[in-house]
Amino acid sequence: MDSHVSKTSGIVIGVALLIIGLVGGYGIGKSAHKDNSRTKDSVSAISKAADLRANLVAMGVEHMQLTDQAVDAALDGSPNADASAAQLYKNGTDLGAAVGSIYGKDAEKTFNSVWKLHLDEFVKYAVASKSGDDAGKQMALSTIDSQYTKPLAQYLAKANPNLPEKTLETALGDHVTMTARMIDDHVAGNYSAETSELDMANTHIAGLMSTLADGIVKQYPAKF
Amino acid sequence: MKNKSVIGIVVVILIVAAVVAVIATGGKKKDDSMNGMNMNTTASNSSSGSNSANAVATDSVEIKNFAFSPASIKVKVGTTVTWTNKDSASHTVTSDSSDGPASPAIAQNGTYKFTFKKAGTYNYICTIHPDMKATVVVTN
Repeated sequence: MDSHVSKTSGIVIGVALLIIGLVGGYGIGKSAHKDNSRTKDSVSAISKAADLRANLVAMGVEHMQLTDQAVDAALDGSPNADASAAQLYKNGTDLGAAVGSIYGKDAEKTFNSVWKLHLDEFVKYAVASKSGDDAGKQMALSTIDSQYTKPLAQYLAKANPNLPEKTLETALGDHVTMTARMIDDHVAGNYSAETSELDMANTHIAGLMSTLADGIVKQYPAKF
Repeated sequence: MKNKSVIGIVVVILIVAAVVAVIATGGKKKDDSMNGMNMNTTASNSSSGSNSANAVATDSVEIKNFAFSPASIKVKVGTTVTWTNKDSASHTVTSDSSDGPASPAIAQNGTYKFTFKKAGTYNYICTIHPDMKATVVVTN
């Protein structure tokens, strides 16, 4: 009798443990499946925002590299000057297309116009710097400030409430100052200083582009 | 002979059940610990890039090479902390708390001062270069 009870208990315990094990395993498997799908959605959202950030940062840094290359080539009379300049202007319209993809064609047009102006004025600045024309340098900087820095900061802040105008104006102003220093360093033959300044300018514009990207993601959470 | 077969079946069932139970429990524990790690990592990243445990007792922070140094400081309530910008680029000191610092752009060699009136951990960034992150731990 005792032996029979013991065997029966053993079977009951065994079956119970088997059921618990299987149910538990199934539950965990199901929960893991749920977690995976949730993670997939999160990764997709993070990826879109990260892509925007990475693309804007890459275009910003490319802008600095091409500016340095184009200005140096022009100042040094290198045969690649025209090709470098063309590449620099194309980078500008690529950035404009990125702006247009978010804020529309009119925004792209406005951006391209303002952006091109600051490139053109920096050509004038470089020419003035090479010829020692301080008044010409100041005139170019003044034009950049009134027709690029201020209006672009104002425009971006208006388009996106997450981007404070004053912060943008300061950031764009710093970008202008750093670029001007790079040109002056090159004209003076201070290539080491020019390289350091380019490094700073790269980091700065990467930060500025991250700020723009973060502001856009915040403005359109459903899109990113 | 019949009894031996029954005992054998019971033993096999018990072993299978035990193995399944162990795998199930072990798997769950592993998942939990991994989730915990992920959550901690996310929380740490979203709050600050610095480590509060290594906070330095000082009331001055230097901004250089696009970084706040020290990245994590600790002060007492009522302390005025001074940030000095050594970069040619402008920076801001902007907290995620309404009780924390919110500077305008600080130009090269410029300073910004803020007095902490409440205890807590204040994470802050430069809004121009949002990857610049740091922390002020304020205690009573």
